[in-house]
Amino acid sequence: MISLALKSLWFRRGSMALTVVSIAISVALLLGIERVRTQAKENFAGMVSGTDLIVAARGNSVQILLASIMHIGYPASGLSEGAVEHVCSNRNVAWCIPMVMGDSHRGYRVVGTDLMMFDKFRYARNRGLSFREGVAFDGTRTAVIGAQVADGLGYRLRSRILVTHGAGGESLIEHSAAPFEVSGILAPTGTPVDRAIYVSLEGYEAMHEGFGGHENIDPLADVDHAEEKSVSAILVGLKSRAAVLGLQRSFGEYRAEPLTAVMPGDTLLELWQLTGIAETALVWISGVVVVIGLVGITTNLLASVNERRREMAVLRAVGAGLLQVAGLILGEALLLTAMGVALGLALFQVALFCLAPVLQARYGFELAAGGISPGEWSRMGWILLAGGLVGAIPAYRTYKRSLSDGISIRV
Amino acid sequence: MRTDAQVAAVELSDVRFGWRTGSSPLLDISTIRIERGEKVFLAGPSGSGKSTLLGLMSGVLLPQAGSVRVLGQAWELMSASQRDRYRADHLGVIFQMFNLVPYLSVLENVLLPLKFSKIRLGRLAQPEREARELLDRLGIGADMLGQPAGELSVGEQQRTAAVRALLGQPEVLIADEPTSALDADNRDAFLELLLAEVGRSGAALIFVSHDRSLASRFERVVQLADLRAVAR
Repeated sequence: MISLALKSLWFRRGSMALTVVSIAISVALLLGIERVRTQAKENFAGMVSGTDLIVAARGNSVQILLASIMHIGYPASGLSEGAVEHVCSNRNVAWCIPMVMGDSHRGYRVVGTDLMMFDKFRYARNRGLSFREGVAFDGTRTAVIGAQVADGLGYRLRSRILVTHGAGGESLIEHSAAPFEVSGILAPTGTPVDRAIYVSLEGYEAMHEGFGGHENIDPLADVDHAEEKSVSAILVGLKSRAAVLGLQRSFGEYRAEPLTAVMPGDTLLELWQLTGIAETALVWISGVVVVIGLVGITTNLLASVNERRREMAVLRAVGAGLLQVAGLILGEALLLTAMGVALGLALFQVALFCLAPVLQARYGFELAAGGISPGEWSRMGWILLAGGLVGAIPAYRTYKRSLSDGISIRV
Repeated sequence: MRTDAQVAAVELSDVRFGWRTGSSPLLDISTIRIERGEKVFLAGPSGSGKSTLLGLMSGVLLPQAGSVRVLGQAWELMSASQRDRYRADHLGVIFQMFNLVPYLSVLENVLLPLKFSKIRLGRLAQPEREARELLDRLGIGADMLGQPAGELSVGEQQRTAAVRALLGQPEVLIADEPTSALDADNRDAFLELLLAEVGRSGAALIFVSHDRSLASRFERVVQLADLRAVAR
């Protein structure tokens, strides 16, 4: 019966090939969208890893995360040196990365930090930062830029950077007295690090000391300066993850200054939920794409039910039962779907193989080529099942036709 | 085997059939009996219910009343799948045209019934060789066997269909206007070969045609109109 179905499909290979291709494309698209979706989520969650807590002045945890990791907005206020000391000298703390922010350069955030950033900061699955070119900043006159900054602004080693006060692109007051020189360019990470300019804490401070002469122009300068003298946020790595909850509470109860300690992983997931609508939309789109492919199969087989009446009568006359005749059509639908799924999988793998290195190199977006996940296998299983279900429609029509036609049909 | 002689190949008794219940029946037959090995010419104008009668005989249609038996077994007492199997085992069918599955080769078409009937397969020691011999006797050469059935001429198709219907010696052969798509020469040649092979296999042949000139070649002629008259 299967060989019969195969021969029948081969006989109509022209239109059947198109159907298989349409299924294949929809399967490849489904797998692709699904893979991008899960990888996007993973990459999003991997924006920061290894950092157990982010400590900042008391505020909303999402806001703190946005400011310190994603470079969007600012923490409500800064931390005093005393608070920094309190956090970083805790015996459970392995390392501390202080960050100060508030300035930008042509739309890219300027972050003051120390060399721990290049040593301890981790993203994705425990990846550290590495230099595409050059070395880390040294002293107050050099800066390290992210890959996207370098590509976007066409900067190279030893390019000069003038920093603007405030985050606006067109802004406002330039710290013209304190230009920086690019000493290093980071390799792409696919995280907001790519869009940041890192200078030393001292360099950041020096830049603001030079700012003094303009104070009378900017009425808000005094207020800003008061904040900028302190650190905006601290990324904290612990000696043992087990201590994280206790420390989070203990930092929150610091008497001298109101602090908030944020667990970045949890907060990132919280943020990801906000993008849930887009995610749901993607899932729906990929689902609809598959449905369209399956409708193609049904249409194709339904259209052939009429022109195959005679063939079915012949099969019935040589002894095929009604169920066998209907089974032939169902088998054809399943075979078409199976071939489509197989071809789609191949298509997906080829696309992944070709695109993954490009995405990784250019955007640091990891697509994890190779390996089909159990979820993807089950998706393909469901498609096959759906193929059988929609195949039941023309199969049933054939059954009814064949029941009334019997074994003889007049032209 | 003695008792076989007493069991008719096909027997209809008090059969009544109409497409719509309530309207007057299309067929109303008190009795037809076709013996084993008998060659019967079934005549009647078009629209007289010939195809319906063949549907009843082959168990595709069931009568509203009465009984249709093939080799003593009544179709109406079998389940649908039993009827399918019984038909595969004991009946060979030839249509007017389009007998073959277009995407199968000539040989695959001929061997098709053996896939559905173990009994017919069991009667052949070497199915493929016997199929080739039978095809050869009906003028289908070895060079044509691999061809897609759709590429044969109409005459060749009908002869291939005859081989398929005969292979594995089913006891009853039903031919529904098998010659009406053929020209006169082809028709006579086909009938000649068919009758010879049916004679060899010992099957009962029920040959339906509107062409009365063929009737003389048969042992017995049944008029459909007569059958109805019997009922009235």
